[in-house]
Amino acid sequence: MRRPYGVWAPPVAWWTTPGVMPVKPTVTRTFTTTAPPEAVYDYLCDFSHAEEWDPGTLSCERVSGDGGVGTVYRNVSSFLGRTSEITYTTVEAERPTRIHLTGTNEQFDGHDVLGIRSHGTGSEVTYTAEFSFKGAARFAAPVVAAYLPLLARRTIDELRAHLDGLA
Amino acid sequence: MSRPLPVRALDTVLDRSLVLGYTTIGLRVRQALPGWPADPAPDALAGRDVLVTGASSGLGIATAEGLAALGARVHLVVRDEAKGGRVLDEIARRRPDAELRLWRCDVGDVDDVRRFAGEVGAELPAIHAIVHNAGVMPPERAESAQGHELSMAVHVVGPVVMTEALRPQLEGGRVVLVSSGGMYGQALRADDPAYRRGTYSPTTAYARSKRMQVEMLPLLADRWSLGGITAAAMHPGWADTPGVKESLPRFRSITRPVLRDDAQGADTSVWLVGTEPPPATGRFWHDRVRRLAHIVPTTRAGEADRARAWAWLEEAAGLG
Ligand SMILES: NC(=O)c1ccc[n+]([C@@H]2O[C@H](COP(=O)([O-])OP(=O)(O)OC[C@H]3O[C@@H](n4cnc5c(N)ncnc54)[C@H](OP(=O)(O)O)[C@@H]3O)[C@@H](O)[C@H]2O)c1
Repeated sequence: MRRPYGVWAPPVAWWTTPGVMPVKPTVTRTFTTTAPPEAVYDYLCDFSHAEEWDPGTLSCERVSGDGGVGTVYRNVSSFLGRTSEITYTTVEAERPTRIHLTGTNEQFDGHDVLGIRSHGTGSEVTYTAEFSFKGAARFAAPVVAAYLPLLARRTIDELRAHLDGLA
Repeated sequence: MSRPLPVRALDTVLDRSLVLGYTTIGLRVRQALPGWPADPAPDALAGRDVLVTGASSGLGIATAEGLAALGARVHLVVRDEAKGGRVLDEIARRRPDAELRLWRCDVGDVDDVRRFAGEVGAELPAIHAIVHNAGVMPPERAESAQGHELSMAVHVVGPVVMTEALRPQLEGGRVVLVSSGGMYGQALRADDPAYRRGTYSPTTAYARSKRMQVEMLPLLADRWSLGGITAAAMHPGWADTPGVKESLPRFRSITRPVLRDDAQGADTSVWLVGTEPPPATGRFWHDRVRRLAHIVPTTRAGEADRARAWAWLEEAAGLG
């Protein structure tokens, strides 16, 4: 059954209602760092650094490419006690303001997007992670979505600490 | 600026009801509530150069006049010089001390925008702000000289090309994209920015282009932040302008008693240009307060679509 979406519909967990899944679970966080945009970009565009800043990443190595668009990384991460391997590919790399990677495996498609802007002498960074699950794994989507705020906070804390260290 | 919780709640109710929020009622209520962001200082823009596109009608005239009242040297950017000249004389009559200049530019034609930017950039070493106000609702599907759907050309491509070309002059300055609440009803159509698919509807074409402005704003803001430029999109509410009279006669006949006057519709644009410190970049504004870009979840864009739209814009506006 489709739930009608009027202007008044409250922003509840609508994505759990079958048949109404216009968007994928997404989390967006904006934070500031003392590092300037170029330093932030150079650090984050090398996704193997996820080993340092992403609490869920166990290992992340570059498989091919020069760090620009088309570069491929093999990322092994653990999430809620499960270990999985995801292949990440750089799809947008615009120094120093925009980085976009897609991650994929049999059960998962995701986007990691970083928007970087100049802010005083440092930067303001917007991190967006979008998830979608395939096959049986799609039933995990609500669990993941419920866990996202916590995950996001931990990730941002780590990320910011590492970026501040670059300044 | 922090506003008390009940004020924020009431403001949100006004906003979601559209009819209350976007009319003169909403603005009057908000202005009376505690925490209404202060007016810019009376001489906030003294000695500064500001460009207003579409300054020959409705909100453009009111924006130009509001900026002149803050001391700015206002450059009226119009497509019809004769009409623009009459408007300039009108403003000058009402404000004899206003410093006004008239420029011709067809914002829907990338070549003309580049020509204009070259001329204005050669003359003005520094530009404090551009208000991209020019707007159209083509009754039939139309294309610009470069083959872009016309509302997309006037609301998105032209403003981006103009801003890009004037980045050196705009350093430390501000850019305002005049969007529309109509965009709340449309999702980003990265798959069809030219509106080739489906039956053309003027209001849909218009709202899609205004949605495109709002979706691309954060990416543009990041890009322009490198020169210390602050970018904002805003929506004016519903104002009784010649544009509304011509494009939405039925809407106007129903809502006329509560429609805003031009100065009320231009209020947030003028505030965004004049207020200090500069408002945070990359945000969407209405009645001097940051607003959500979506009120229904079905219009939310996925990251793949946003990337696709950005690739289109980079190509259309020649962003290297
Ligand atoms: N009024 C509202 O309630 C309302 C609501 C939401 C958003 N807006 C937005 O506010 C802005 C101003 O609207 P308005 O109500 O004042 O409309 P308007 O009276 O129709 O004014 C539009 C202005 O844009 C100019 N223009 C159109 N195409 C142009 C081009 N290719 N190059 C240069 N200038 C061009 C027009 O020039 P001419 O004078 O030569 O025709 C006119 O000066 C628009 O962006 C509109 O979408 C208005």
